[in-house]
Amino acid sequence: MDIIVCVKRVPDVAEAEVDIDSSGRGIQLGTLGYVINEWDNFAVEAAVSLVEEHGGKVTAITVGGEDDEDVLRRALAMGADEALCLTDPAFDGSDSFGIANILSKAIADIPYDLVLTGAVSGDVGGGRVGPMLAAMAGIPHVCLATELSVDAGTARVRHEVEGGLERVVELDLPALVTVQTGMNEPRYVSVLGIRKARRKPLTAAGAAEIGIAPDSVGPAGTRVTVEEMFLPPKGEAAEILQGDDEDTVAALVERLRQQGGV
Amino acid sequence: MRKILVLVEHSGGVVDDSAYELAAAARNLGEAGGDVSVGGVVLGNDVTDLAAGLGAWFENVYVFDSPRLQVPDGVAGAELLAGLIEQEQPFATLIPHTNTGMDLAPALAVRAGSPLFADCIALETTPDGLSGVRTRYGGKVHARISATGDGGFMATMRPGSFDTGEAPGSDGALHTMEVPGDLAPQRRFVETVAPEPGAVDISQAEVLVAVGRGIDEEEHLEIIRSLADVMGADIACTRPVVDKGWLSKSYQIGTSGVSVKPKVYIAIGISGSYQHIGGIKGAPYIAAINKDPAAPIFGVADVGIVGDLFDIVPLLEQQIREVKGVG
Amino acid sequence: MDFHLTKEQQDIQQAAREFAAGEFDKELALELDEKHEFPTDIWQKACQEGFVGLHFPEEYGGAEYGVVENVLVVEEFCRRDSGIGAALMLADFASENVLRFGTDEQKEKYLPPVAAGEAISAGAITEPDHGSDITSMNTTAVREGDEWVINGVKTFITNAGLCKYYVVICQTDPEAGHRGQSMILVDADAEGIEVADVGNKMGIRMTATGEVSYKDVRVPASNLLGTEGKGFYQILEFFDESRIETAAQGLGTAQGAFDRALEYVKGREQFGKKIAQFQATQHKIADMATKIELARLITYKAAWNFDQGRIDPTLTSMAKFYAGRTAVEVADEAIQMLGGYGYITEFEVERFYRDAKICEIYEGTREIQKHTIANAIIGKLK
Repeated sequence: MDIIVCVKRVPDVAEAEVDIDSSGRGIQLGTLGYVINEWDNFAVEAAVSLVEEHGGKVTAITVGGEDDEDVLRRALAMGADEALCLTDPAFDGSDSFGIANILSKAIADIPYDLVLTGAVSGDVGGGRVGPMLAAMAGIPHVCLATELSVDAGTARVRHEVEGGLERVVELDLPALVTVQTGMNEPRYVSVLGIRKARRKPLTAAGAAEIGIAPDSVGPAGTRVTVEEMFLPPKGEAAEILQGDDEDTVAALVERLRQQGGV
Repeated sequence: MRKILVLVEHSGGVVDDSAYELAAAARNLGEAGGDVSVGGVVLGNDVTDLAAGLGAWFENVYVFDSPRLQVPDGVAGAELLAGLIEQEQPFATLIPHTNTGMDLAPALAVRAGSPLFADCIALETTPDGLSGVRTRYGGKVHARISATGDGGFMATMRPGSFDTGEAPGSDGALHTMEVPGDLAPQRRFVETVAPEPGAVDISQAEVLVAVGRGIDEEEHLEIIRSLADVMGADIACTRPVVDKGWLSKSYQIGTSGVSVKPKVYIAIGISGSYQHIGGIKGAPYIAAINKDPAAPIFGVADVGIVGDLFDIVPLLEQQIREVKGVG
Repeated sequence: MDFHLTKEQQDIQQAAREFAAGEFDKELALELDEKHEFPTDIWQKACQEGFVGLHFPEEYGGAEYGVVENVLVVEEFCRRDSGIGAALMLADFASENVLRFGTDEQKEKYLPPVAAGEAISAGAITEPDHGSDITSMNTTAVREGDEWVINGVKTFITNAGLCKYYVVICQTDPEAGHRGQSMILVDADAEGIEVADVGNKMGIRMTATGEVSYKDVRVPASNLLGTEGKGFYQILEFFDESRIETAAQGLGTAQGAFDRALEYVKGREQFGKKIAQFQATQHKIADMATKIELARLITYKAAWNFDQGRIDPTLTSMAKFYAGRTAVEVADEAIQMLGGYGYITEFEVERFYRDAKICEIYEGTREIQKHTIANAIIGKLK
């Protein structure tokens, strides 16, 4: 059972204040740390534990530069067997469609039964790359999986739908599943895992190697362009209570009383 | 006249509000203020009557009615809609940015070769195409996005972000579309699972004290429980709290959790992702307590305190006790 | 010249940071600190993930890393929690003597359990009458047939009562002063050992500290660790390594106190402004951050130097002296910045302060470090 897991490195904005950069089309990354996309971490755990159960091989893939190899080494240390960094100046600035396109060309040369991705990413967050990749690869998909098991050429997937409901579906393999947080408990990266990762193959491939026309990706292949980024407009925002804690809490209690909350 | 297609989401025989929101948004996509013809697309089993009832909102209603479509299936839906787009050549196809919509839209965009605007909170035509606004970085940033071309655009639209307005009173024609018998056989429905019921049904709660990632540790839930007790409120939470196993899924508010409609809603240590906000229906009075002044929750709340919840919550409980004359 | 960590080192740093964030629990830390209890569960998990004994060879359960990697882990652990971090750092204390001087049989027996989380190690050096001055010892080991017979009292022994074995410095030739000292491995369950706790401590309360008395304790002759008569020199070599770890403890403790103070001043308002907007606070922040960065540079350099196979006691002493001092000063300032809250356990910086102080005391006091540094610089005066 061979699994491809697509991962991505994202700036950690969870507790950070975010500002727009000088280009106006991105955020200031200066002091932000980078982490593996939260959803992808669950996808890696799912891939590694499925292969521990069924045998086979996990290949982790990312699209990006040398710094993005961090997440690949992380996946290797968690137990992935091989890693592939899709890197080429032509790939820079690709939109979701472009990223899915690059990935689809890369996985065409790798045998696999299952492709896993995080359901969304913490930076862009559209949830498009996974199902787009499935459509390009011509395989069935299901999104937002909270449980995943594999048996005899079939994946059984529980996934989230509306209203707190979940649905169980079966997919003929090969298939693509996007992983929701909470599916499993991702293992820690262990020291021995890091050491073993050193000996595992981490290769890089560019546009020529995966056979993709450079003008079909990057800005040239972008279908939806980011014109500008800006901080959410204020005005519609909440009345922020001022003063020390005693004062703000007293004011809040008064408002809650008026609204029937107390 | 421009054609716009809208995917109508529905469940249990009831049309989702998003269908009306998207129908209204579609009418703003005419060329230089010109008219549009909006088509509604209904996928499902035994949904012809439901589709027929949508005539006042759409010039055309396309219904794919088949037992195969008893439950939404993004793979099958993408295949059917790709055929309809091929046939109708719409300027844009609008799909609600819901779990169901996002199961379908990306695959459809690939099949139809469409630029896909994801999770739009605004959408408008431009002289050479389409422009939208969406959020990024968990709502901390907005991005204006655009694409150029004569048509064939696709956008998923965040529910609750577009006004419904009045039905235009069209007299939509119903088109019954063919569903192939062997549609997308690689994906098969097995069963639907409801979450295990919690101690209380938060969907009926009048006052909710909800807690998010900021609570840090399971033991800290005690201060939330204690506050809720004093207020006579029920507690609820966001997804990370459920992911950690600190509360069961029946307490989770959001598009993937329970929808609630309280009168008063207190969000504590909740950043305010749209998936969470999407689960709050009606127009409750929202109070937010968060240490990050830039947290998106303050954009939807009525009143907020920027501060450490571990300072504020115990103080709040104490003051409410005094007001109520208890303890 | 290159001041960068390797990618692998960055990965280890990140792994340690994630482990500490996931497992170290503030409430538990407050409780263990108050009760003077060792964080057993976290220690065993840390061992499972390979953070303890990562400098051991693979055949003994380690990952064959060096002092730099050890330092990165200690720093991250102490940054997240000064008490838990110290307890984990000290769990393999003195086992390096087995690693550096032991026979294959001794390594096979004494190292894998330490890496696996089955055994805690300890070193018994200080005596009631010999603290900073270890050039002669009152504890003796006398050879009788195939055994050593040990008598004496060791005090301030970290992990006393918790450990599975002690590396004991004994006088094997009472006439020869420091040239008559030897290291001997003593299993903790040997007959004749008695442990008395030293009582409540100011800091590092999650580690046990005790007085260990050896009365006619008999161990096999094969328990001699290293060379007979070379114990003193071996312990100095060990200190060269362990003092770098102590520097890392100080560094992490300083950073942890600083993190907490920074978060506080960015959030707290007085007189209508964030405290961080007042120049008095800003200068404190600048001073603290600069000291921490200097402590980091010298600690990393000392670790890197050791891993290059070079012994430089001056550099090691500088690192330990400076990082330990930084820990105390930064934690002190952190309390000041939190004001009244800084004095309260719940806000943690007072614990960081209490935990910081030991870095200037154990493994050679600040004064001993300065003595080493000054002697090396001045040289022999005629």
